[in-house]
Formats: sequence, structure tokens, C-alpha cells
Amino acid sequence: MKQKLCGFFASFLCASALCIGLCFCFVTSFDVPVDVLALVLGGFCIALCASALFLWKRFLLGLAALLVLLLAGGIYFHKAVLQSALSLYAALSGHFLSAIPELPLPELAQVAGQGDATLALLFLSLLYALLSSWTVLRAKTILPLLLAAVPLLALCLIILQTPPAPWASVLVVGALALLLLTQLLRARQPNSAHPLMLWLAGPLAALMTLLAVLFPADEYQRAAWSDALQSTITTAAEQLAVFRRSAVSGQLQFTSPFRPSTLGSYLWDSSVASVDLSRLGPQRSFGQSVMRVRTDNTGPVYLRGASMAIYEDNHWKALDEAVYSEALQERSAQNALVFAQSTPLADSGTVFTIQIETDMKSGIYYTPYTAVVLPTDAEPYYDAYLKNPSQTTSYEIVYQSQLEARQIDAQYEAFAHEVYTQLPEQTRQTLLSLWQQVEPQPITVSDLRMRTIEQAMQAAAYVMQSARYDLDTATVPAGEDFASWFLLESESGYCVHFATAATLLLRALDIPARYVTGYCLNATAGEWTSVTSEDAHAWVEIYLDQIGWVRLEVTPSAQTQTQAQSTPTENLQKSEDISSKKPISAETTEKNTQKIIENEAKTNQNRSIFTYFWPILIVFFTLFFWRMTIFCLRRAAMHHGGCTRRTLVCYHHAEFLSRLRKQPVPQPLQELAEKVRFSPHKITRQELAPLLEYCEKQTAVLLSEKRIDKRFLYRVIFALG
Amino acid sequence: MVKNRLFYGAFLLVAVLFHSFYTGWFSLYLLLFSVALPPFSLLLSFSAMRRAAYHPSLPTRCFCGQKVSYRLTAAHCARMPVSLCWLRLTVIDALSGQQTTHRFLLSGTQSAAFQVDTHHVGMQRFCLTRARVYDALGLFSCRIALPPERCIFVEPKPQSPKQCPNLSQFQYRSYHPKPGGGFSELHDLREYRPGDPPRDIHWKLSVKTDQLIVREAQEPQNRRIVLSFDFSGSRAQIDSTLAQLLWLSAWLLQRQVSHQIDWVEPDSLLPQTRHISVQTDLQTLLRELLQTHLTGDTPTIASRSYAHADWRYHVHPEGQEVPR
Repeated sequence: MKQKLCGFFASFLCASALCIGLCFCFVTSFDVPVDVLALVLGGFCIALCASALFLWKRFLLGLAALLVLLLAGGIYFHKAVLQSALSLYAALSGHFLSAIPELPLPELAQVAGQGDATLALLFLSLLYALLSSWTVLRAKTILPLLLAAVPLLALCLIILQTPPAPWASVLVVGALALLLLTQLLRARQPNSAHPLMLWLAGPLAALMTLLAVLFPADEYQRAAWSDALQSTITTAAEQLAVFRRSAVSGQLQFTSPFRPSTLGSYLWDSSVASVDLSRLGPQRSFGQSVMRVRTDNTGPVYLRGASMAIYEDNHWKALDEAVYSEALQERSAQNALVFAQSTPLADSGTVFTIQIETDMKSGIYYTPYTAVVLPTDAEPYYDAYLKNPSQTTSYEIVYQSQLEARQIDAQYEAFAHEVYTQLPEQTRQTLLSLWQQVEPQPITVSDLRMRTIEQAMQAAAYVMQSARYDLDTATVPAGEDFASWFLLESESGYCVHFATAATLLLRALDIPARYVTGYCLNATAGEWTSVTSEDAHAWVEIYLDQIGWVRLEVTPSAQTQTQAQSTPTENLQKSEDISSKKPISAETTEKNTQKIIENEAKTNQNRSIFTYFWPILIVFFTLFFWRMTIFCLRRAAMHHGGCTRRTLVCYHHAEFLSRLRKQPVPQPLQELAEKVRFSPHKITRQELAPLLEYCEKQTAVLLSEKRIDKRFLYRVIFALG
Repeated sequence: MVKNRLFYGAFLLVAVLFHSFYTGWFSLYLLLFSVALPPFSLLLSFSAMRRAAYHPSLPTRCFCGQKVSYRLTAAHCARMPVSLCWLRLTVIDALSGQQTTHRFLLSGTQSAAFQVDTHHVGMQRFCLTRARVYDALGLFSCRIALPPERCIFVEPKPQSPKQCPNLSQFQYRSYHPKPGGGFSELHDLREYRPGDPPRDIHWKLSVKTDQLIVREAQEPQNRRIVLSFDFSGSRAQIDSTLAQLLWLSAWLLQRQVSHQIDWVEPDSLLPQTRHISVQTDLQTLLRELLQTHLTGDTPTIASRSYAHADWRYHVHPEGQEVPR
């Protein structure tokens, strides 16, 4: 009995940790909409049932019954199950498609819409609970469970920007570690392994918590040795790789398959084709080394990656090739991007060289502004970015320190004014009304270019002051416009928010502007500077006639924000400024309230199954623990400890049983109880034996009752057996 | 536990690679955890490892063909169960000098039983030559105090020779007059002969019979009985030889006939002689014989003449032609 109890609890512990851990890895990684309480309690109940099932000798029969029940439930609630599964798929595929747009996932996600994925996750829990319980109680190997659990965990970890909650992943690792630690014993003597599992659970939890506390996820900074290790491994892997002939130079060049791309470190930097702003949530800093840069000039260097032209549905998208080819010649678009081909080399005093070395492959060249000499195989993709067809990892670029006027095609200027001032009409209206509320200073300059610059500076200043810089900024609420939400409601943001808002505001003011991603670093002349993923940045480019695209910084630096936060008066002033700049109209409030009501109605519809299922689960769970606790406590009191105390306990129990049977306790047993109470006589085991025997007999008689209600009463409520 | 160590090495390698290429916090946590896990396992298992012990049990003697087991019982003192013990048992057959090695992997309170080979007679020594206890992950190990060596004597079942020698003269006990006279529990009566000492005259009987009757002291007739055998041939033949020898010797002892057993020592090739008067002598001799190391080219003692022996019998194993 004791061994069975140990086995049951060990199995329950592992199964519940694994189920809940894996489910919440999914939930926290992919923002799966679930009923958290239902998922947690459901996970516990499933673990409980799975443990009890495999404890039964004829567990195959139980499994068959469970299968039938599941099928019946699946057919009866098929709509809810399907909706739940589709919802889970939608959440997963949405994240994967935004991270890896080339992924050939079916379009099922768009059909599914928003729903509650609790049922689907509970089904997943059931599978893992069964597998876990089978491993603990029946199997001699942990391999099937490892093979089943690790891919699921990997699926949650694969998108770097949306890692699972640390506690969930730690829970999964803990459950697997517990099984690994007891594997040797469980393979040979399972009955001894179960107490060991329970015994090890505490220290293991302490170890895992200690590690999590010493190395917290929030403050994680990737160490330099990690990058050095990666570099060493990659260099070693290069020795084994195949050399390929370069399409440009015709020489054999190595292109390592192991080199990751510099693209993809952050979600906003994940693609040259599009950026999904609706999925941008809190960002983590990894500190991963991306490249090394050496330049002759000391100061900030902006390494431009790619620019985005179209803003729609909270997405930044690149302009379609067809739009370019219809509107203008390829050459004129390239001229706008490549400074080198349209500008003569300036004096040597203002010309600098930048050397860039990276361990990662990339399809684009990162170039400083006003570059005059580019790598030989650099191929401009219209006005958006420079292609790196050979994925060169070490290159040199010559650039000028000053921006100079140059001749740009009039056709392109018209194109820039037409394309780069477009934005959704609703957004334009919102931003213009906001701009009017700001009451900008009147511009006195008469020159058109200078007026543009002045207006752009005012807009940039407004955007910079509209929120504080914080990487821990929440995702834009569903249905909200990204820029409007940032300027109106959000109190914080990071470069993407500032750059997007500024670009759109400038476009609303008819200033051609575009959103640009790349790296921003502070270089020291003649020294190699390490560029990390922290240096990834987004900014704005505005188009000035006869000059071209000019960079405009609109993000307040994080350092400045920290200093500002240290002064309470400034903070107050700032908060007042922010609040004054965010008048939320009654119409907007009403709209939001309506949305909340609609969402709640949807959630209630999805939860309809649980409204019936809930109480049953809770009652079942409570009764189980009640019965187990009472039974264990009574057993411990009756069979352990001194004989005199045990006699008293047994006599009370015997009285209780007699009351149930409506029969008096036999006279000799009453005398024994009196002896215990009123005399200093110590009871021996031989004297106690008849009382124990009487209790057992009475219990057996009561348990043999045939009426179901009485059986339930005796077995579950009174926990007699 | 090479498998476990390789598995852990692979896991650590994967954790390192994972950390170097995956920039998330989880990779660092996994790496730290994988590094911390072995010391943690050792720390928790250390107490159980230090207190691990095994107690061997084996009967000291058995008969040939009897089912007997060498049993190793866990006698761990720690509350925490031992994850795994690796034991190497060496069985040495004293007669043939052959060594066999057996390995056991025991977990928790598991005990091991090893069937003793009792097909042939001889002494077998069971000693645990190596015993190591492992931590929970099976990566670290330490030695366990080895339990004492155990021996078992596989004795032959007494078996009468197929062609039984003439033992009729040993069916009853014979006596002869004690030289020099004197006191004896046993005595015979005879007529007086001149020269008999007067104190030996049985006066009461002489009066009754009206002739002089003398009481003559008697003693058992100890003749020189020799049993010989050869320590040669196959193991089955040696089994048969010793079984017959045991039967003959026991038969003689039952009739209180002291005898001597002769053989040639296989190692030194010197003839050996042991006098058997009581059962203990026979047991001692048997234990000595069962420990004798066989060499395979021991000369026979059958041809040796025992001129002074009153009765001599050379034991031939079954299946061997008896020289006439």
C-alpha cells in the first residue's frame, strides 16, 4: 500500500509538472488565448487520473475506456474542440510566419480567428500525462518521454523573441531531471525509485530555484565568452565545410552553413520584406555579438540595413518590385540609394574607411551613410537596400563625413513624394488632429527645403517627448493602429515605436519619410568596436529635394531616459506633458468599452464547456484529497506510536463504526478503553490486537454494503477503505 | 557506467553548443543546470554510497548435484536507496584451479543469487573482487568494503563400488588375547595352562565346573587395512573415486575398523597416508582432498605393494577397467 502511494504521488508530481510546464511554455511563447485557471486545474486532474490509471493492474482496459470517452467527448463537443485546435494553430502559425515569412504554413490560421485553446492544450496535457505516468510506473526507460517532450520545448524556444516563461521551461526541465536522476533505480527496482523521486523533488526544486535566482532571466546578458565560443566553433566548423565558387569573383569562397544571419536577432530586424508591428512586445537584451567594426572616425556610426515603404495593417512592408518598375527606371531608384555613383569623392580629410567583419551571414550589406566606395559585388535593390549576393562577411566601405547636395533624377523625386507620403487615411486623420492639438511653432523660414527640415525637426521633437524609452513595452492591443496607440495611449516605447510614429507623422505632414533598420554604434578611431544585437536600431529617413534621403533620429536614448527618471520634478513635468498630449476622446473610450464587452462575450462563449465541467472537476479533486488525507491520518494514528494512545484512537474509531452499524461496542473492549483512561496500566500489543481486529471486521462489513449511496458515503466521505 | 558517462558527455556538449548558438536565457540556464547536476547527484547520493554494503551467504558444504545458491543480500545502512552497485564475483574451483568471473548490477535493496555449480566435487571459493557503488546519475563511483570470502565443499555422495570387494571378514569384530595379559573390559575363558598366573584363575567358575578356568584378557584385532586411490582421470572419474572411497571408509568406520588411506599427491607427486579411526578423521581428509589441486599427470598408486597390509583395496572409478 505504501509503495503504491509513493508510486502514485511520484507519478502525479512528474505528470503535473510536465503537463503544466509544457502547456504554459506554449501559452507564454505564442500568446495562446487560454483560461489559465482551467488549464492549471485541468492539468492537475489529468495528472491525477493518469497516475491512478497506470497504478491499476488492468491499465490497458482503462486506456481503452479513456480512448472511448475521448472519442465520445470529441464527437459531442466537436465544434469547441475544432475551434480550440484551430485557435492553438492560429497562435503558433502566426508567430512562426511573422518570424519566418518563408515558412510554408497553410493559411488555416486566418480562418481560425480568435478563440480559446484550453481544450486543445488539455488534450496535449493528457497525452503527456499518460506518457509521463507510464514512464514512472510502468516503463523502464525515459527515452520515449524525452523524445516526446524535447521537440515540444524546442518548438517554443525556436523563436528567440518570444521565449516561454522561465518558470514553465524550468518546470519541464525539472520534471525530466527528476526522472533522469532516478532512472538507474527505476529501471531495476521501481518500488524503491518512487520514494527516491519524492525525496529528491525538494532538493532538486531548491537547486533549480537557486540557479534561477542567481542567473535571473530578466537581467540576462550574454557573456563575451559565449560569443567567443560560438566564434571558435564556427571557425572549427569552417574547416569541415565545402568551399563554393563565388558568383562575383569566380574564386572559391567558403560559405558556412553554420553561420546564422545578422537578420533575425530582433523581430523588427527579421526581414527585408516586412515587419509585423502588431507582434512587437517587450524586448529582451541578449548582447550577442553581431559584427566588428573599425573606422577612422570617432563618434556615432549608423550602419543602414534596409528601409520600408508601405505602412498598412500595422505592418511595414517593402515596396513591390512592380511599383518601382512601373514608376521609374531602376537606375534612378538606385541613384537615390547609392551615394557613391552620383557624388564625386570629396577631400581626403573628410573621407573615412570603415571595415566590417561579421561571423554571420547576411543577404544585405550594412553601409554607413554617404558611402562613396562600396564592395565590388554590392547590388542596390532599387532604393531600399544593398544586396550582398555572395554573403561576404568581411568588407570595407569608404564614406564621407558630410552630406553634400547632388543631382537626383526628377522622376525619382516625384516618385518619392508620391509613394513615401502614403499612409492609411484614418491614421493620417488621427495624426493630423494630434499635431493640431500640439500647436507647433510657426515656421518663419521661407526656403522650402529649410521649412521641411524645420517641420521635420518639430515632428521629431514631439515624437521623442511623447513617451519614455523602455524595451519593456507591451504589444499593441488588437484592433488598434500602432502609431496612434503609441502616441495616444502608450507611455513607453523603443526605437520601432518612435521611428514608426515619426515616419507616419511626417508623411501626414506631406514630408516623404521612410522607416529604416540597421545598427547604431559609437566607434573609436582605429579600434575595433564590437557591434552587438543591443545596437540594432530603427530610425527615419526623410527625403529632401536635391539632397536625397537624410537620416533623422527620433528615439530618445535609453541613457537619457534613465537620467531623466532620476529627477522626480522632471518626471512629474514629463508625465504632465505626456498626459496633456494624450487627450482620449469620449468616442474612443466608448469604442474601447464596446470592444471589451465584445471580447468578454466571445470568451464566455468559449468557456461554456467549462461552466459545466468545472464544478465536477473541483468536487472530484476535493473529494479525492479529502479521502486520501483522512485515510492516511487515521491509518497513521492507529498503526504507529505507543500502544496506549493507539488503543484510545482505535476505541474512538470502533465507537464510530458501531454507531454506523447501530451496534454497541463489545463489553471487553469497553473495559479496555476504561483501563486506558482511568488506570496507569500500559496496554500491550496483545491487548490492543482484539480492538484492531474488531475495527477491521466492522470496516469490512460496512464496505461490503451494496447500496451505492452508502458505499459512496463509507468509501469517499468517511474514507473507510 | 560508460554508457551513462557518454550520455552525459553528449548532453553537456549539446548544452554547450546550444548556449553558443542560442542567445536566449534558457540556453545559459540549461548549461548551468547540466554542469550543476552531477555534483548535485553526487552530493545527494554520497551518504547512501558510503553506507552501501552487501552480505554474502553460502552453506559451507553440500552434496554433489544438490541445488545451492550463493546469495548477496543488500545491507545498506542509509535511508536513501542506493542507485546502482556494480559487483564482480570470482569463483575459484580448487580442484581444477579454474576461475570464472560474474558481474552483477544491483539497485536499491535488490539481492543477487548465483547458482553454485555442483556437478563435480571439490571446494569452490566465492570472493567479491571488486564492488563499486554509483551516484544517482551513474557518473561517479566509489568502492564498497568487500565482504569476506566464502567457501563451499561440494562433497561426493557415498557410493558403493560396482564390484564390491570381499568385506565379509569385517562383518563382525574379532579379538585376540592381549599380549602380556593385564586388565581388559573384554575377556575370554579357557582351561588353565601351566604358566598362567594364579590371579587370572576364575575361582568361582572353577569351583562350579570343578576344573581350573582362567580369565584371559582380550583386545580387538587391529589388522592393517589399506584403501588407496588415484587422483587422476576426468572430473567425473575423480567424483566416482571419491564417492566410492567415502563409502568404503564410512563402511569400515561403522564397523569400527581403523584403516589407512593412501594416494599420490598431484602437486608434489609424493605418496600420502592418512589414518582414519573416527568419522572426524574422514571429514578432515575429505576436506583436504577436495582442496587438492589437480595436475593431470599424477602416477597411479595401484601398483604399489603393501606387504605388511592385512587387507588392501585400490579404488577404481566407474568406467575404468579394473586391472586383474
